[in-house]
Amino acid sequence: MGFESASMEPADGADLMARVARDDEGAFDALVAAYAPKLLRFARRMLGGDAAEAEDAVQEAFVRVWRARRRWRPSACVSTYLFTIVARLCLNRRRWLARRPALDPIEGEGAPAQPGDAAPGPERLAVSRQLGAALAAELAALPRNQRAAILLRHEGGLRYDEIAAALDTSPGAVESLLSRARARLRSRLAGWVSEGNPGSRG
Amino acid sequence: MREADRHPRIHAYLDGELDAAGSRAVEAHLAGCDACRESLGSSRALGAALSTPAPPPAPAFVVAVRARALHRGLPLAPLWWRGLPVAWRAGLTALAAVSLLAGARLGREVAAERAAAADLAAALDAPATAALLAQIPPDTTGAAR
Repeated sequence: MGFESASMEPADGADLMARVARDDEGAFDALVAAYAPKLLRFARRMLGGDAAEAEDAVQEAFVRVWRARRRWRPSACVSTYLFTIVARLCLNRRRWLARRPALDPIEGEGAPAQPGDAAPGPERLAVSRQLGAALAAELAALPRNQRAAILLRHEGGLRYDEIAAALDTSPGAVESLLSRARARLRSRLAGWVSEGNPGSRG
Repeated sequence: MREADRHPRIHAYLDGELDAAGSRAVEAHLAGCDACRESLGSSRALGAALSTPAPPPAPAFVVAVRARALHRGLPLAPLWWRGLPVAWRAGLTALAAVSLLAGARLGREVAAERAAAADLAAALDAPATAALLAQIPPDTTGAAR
């Protein structure tokens, strides 16, 4: 079992990690800078919008990566490896936060940018922010394994077998988790997320 | 909840998990099923909304990670631990959990201990430990920030 998929991999991820495995601290800094944005947003969504907990979880993940660097296998996918570690740390923290509904919308989040739409008007920005807030709230309300599965799929770009490994379950169960998560998000976000027209609502 | 998901493999198809024959089967179904086409389209839009570029973190974040990774603390999952027999590990893990409970009752440095124990559980991938920890009522500790 491995982390071989490379769909979301920055071109130099494998090279950076190989240098980290040889104790290169500069490469470690570069690795953090390259992957922290995606991992921070992922952790924040995993943790119901709690930015401080998310930062702590991602820091902890990188600390573990550094400490385990000598055991790195070059055949693995760096992105999958990092998302898996962060996911497991977040799932471990979840029980502390279970009673706290924190639904902060995530800064800068919203509808996908349209190609050639370099200067979105105020209306479009407002819609994006509302979608970001709605999405954050609905993600936070999902059962935790459904949330983990859909975020690992879309933010981490993991395959079903990789998600299954991260969540200690089977690829078939992952398919079912994704099906349920999407059905629920679609019904709750109807109007925001419709075919060919994400982010628009009358 | 699943009214639109009439074809059982539509999500596997969307996620590129099917082989050529499986994909052809789903495509043949999609050609004649409005509900599945709509479901596929909105699931794609949902995926696009979730995978927009993430904003960069504050530069201080990289510095903080460096400080924590390079200059702090003991290894979390040392090799000697992995070499121990399973029974030993289970015993020590239970001991750690019991110590944690005692610490929680005494109300001393509870947050730090919980963090340490959670680290341990995560590092060891020990569901039994996680289950033990989950039984501790959060309200008795005041650990929440």
